[in-house]
Amino acid sequence: MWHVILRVLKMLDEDILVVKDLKKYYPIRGGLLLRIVGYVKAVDGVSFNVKYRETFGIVGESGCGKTTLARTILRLIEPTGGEIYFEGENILSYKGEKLKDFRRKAQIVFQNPYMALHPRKIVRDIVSEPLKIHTDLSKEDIYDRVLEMLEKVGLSEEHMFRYPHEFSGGQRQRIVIARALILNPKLLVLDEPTAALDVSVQAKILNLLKSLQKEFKTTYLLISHNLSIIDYMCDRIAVMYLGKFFEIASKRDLFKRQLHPYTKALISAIPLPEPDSGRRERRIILRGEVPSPINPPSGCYFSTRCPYAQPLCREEEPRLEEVDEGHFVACHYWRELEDLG
Amino acid sequence: MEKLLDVRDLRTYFYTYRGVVKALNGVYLTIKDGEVVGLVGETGSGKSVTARSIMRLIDPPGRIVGGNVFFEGRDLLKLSDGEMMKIRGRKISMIFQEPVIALNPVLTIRTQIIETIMANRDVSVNEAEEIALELLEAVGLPNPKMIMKRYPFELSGGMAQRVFIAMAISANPRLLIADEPTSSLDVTIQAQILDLLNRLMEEGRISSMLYITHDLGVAAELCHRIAVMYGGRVIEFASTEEIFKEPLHPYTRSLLKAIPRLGYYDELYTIPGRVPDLVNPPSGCMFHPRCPYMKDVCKKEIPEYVEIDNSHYVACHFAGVKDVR
Repeated sequence: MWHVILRVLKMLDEDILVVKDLKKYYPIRGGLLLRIVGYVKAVDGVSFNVKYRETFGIVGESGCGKTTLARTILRLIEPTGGEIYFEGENILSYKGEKLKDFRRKAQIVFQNPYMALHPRKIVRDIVSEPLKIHTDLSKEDIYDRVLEMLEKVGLSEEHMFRYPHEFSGGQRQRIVIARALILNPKLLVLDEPTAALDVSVQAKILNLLKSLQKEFKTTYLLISHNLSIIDYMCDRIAVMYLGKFFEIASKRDLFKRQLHPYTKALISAIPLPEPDSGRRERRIILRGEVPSPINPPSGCYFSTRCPYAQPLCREEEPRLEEVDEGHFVACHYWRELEDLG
Repeated sequence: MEKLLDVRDLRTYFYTYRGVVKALNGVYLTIKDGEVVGLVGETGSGKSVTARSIMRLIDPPGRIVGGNVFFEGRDLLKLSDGEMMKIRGRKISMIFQEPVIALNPVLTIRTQIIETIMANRDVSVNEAEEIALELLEAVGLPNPKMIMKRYPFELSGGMAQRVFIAMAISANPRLLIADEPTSSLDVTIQAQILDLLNRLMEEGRISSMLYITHDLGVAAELCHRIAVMYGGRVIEFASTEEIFKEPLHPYTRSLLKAIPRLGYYDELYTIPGRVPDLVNPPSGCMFHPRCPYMKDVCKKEIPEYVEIDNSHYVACHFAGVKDVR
């Protein structure tokens, strides 16, 4: 009895996913012979870990590489370099049966539910497909499991024989979630799961994801550009910019004590539904735009837009270091900035 | 302040093969001189159709079937097409959600901006070029001369929106209609554009604005008054402060509780059911199938759009009743 509890307790503190120095470069070809003339560094040396049953959030603006990162972790895209450990094993060495087994344990929900469902298949076939691939259940058992899963995401038996186009965006996302969770995966990657939905539908999907996580004890990796959603859903958060992590911290730390100037600007840029909050006056408005990942700036990637940039920032790239328990930041001057207030 | 725009009982229908889509079912909206009015609502509530109906940009199978749009005292719906052409761009101009798509892809920025200026103001090409450079600088674009030579696809979303804003304000219009101008942009770029719009208001380059958005946060920051749309009607219209602190319509209240906010982790409120089908809309109040306070009268009678408190308009049978609040 005791050793079981101890094992569970130990597991809770263990990492389900460890990513080390992950890189994904896309070659750019040019000239007559289509030689490689450069690289788009979509993911450029990212390291982090995700604990069992937590929700780990990755926030960043468009083009920062968050989707590439998510897909690389699932090996939907092969990385250029780095290591990915899932439950202690390096998944980059997986082939054949092992890789198939990994797919069963790690699933993904895509942003656009209009494109993630086969338009000429009925819902029953869409949701049962993972079971057909990964299990040898009988037809009757598959039917029961699909029905059970659909009910869990708020759909019913009558929906099983309809085509995706007959559903609203929110309902389609429910179908996508049902398909992703039917094998009871340990890790679920959510790539902007509500970006295509309206506010009132978004609330339903977020609540559903939270309750399903409790029920299935799944670990979530949530990707979003919306900090309010990240804040609502996640336990720990990483801030991504031009293929790199600038800051990793627990949610509480990140919203109380942002150490990186980009995180500060990002949080101050969210328009809050509270008139007269005085945020507009205190807002940090970054100049310029995100530089091109083909030709990133020297030194710190944020130095071109940072209001506090010093000569050192343009010369030397800051390393992501742990400055407080579980709080990582990549900035030369985080200490000085914190004293500044 | 006088009323610059006064929309009364505006109705726009789309005649599709599925039936008549009643996109607007009697919209009431006023904008005073020098004011920013926010138009908020979810997809399909009729925000963009309202904006396009005001501009008379409804194409078949759509048609404006009733109502009035008084602008500076004249009913725009009664003007001839030629007269309306003189209103668009000069008196009322518009910016859109996808600026890169809204610009002509095969013409340089210079050609497009000079064409706009010369269409609306009586100036020579050289004068137009000078005005263009000045405008591009005013909207915060670095190196306007270089931007003029570019094609739209060479600009980022934020830059293209700045170019579009420059074109929209080139004739000093009385009213600028902004249809989700920051929805396709990143938060830090959105912050830049909102800051720019505020600055242009302060500088007097934009006098009044109708700002359409689905983001209540953006509306809270930018607008003096907010109109909430549902099922093709404005169901509540009040000062920004009242909309957020004392919303009267059950839909407005539900919507405010459904948005995730920084630092709140309670379960989000969800509105049961779905948005109404505008081909077969529910009887009575459009919101009744989803309303937690629904009574019999809500199913039978369409609630009138009435002034409850000072300048606080609501379309709900029970908005004035204290104990239902």
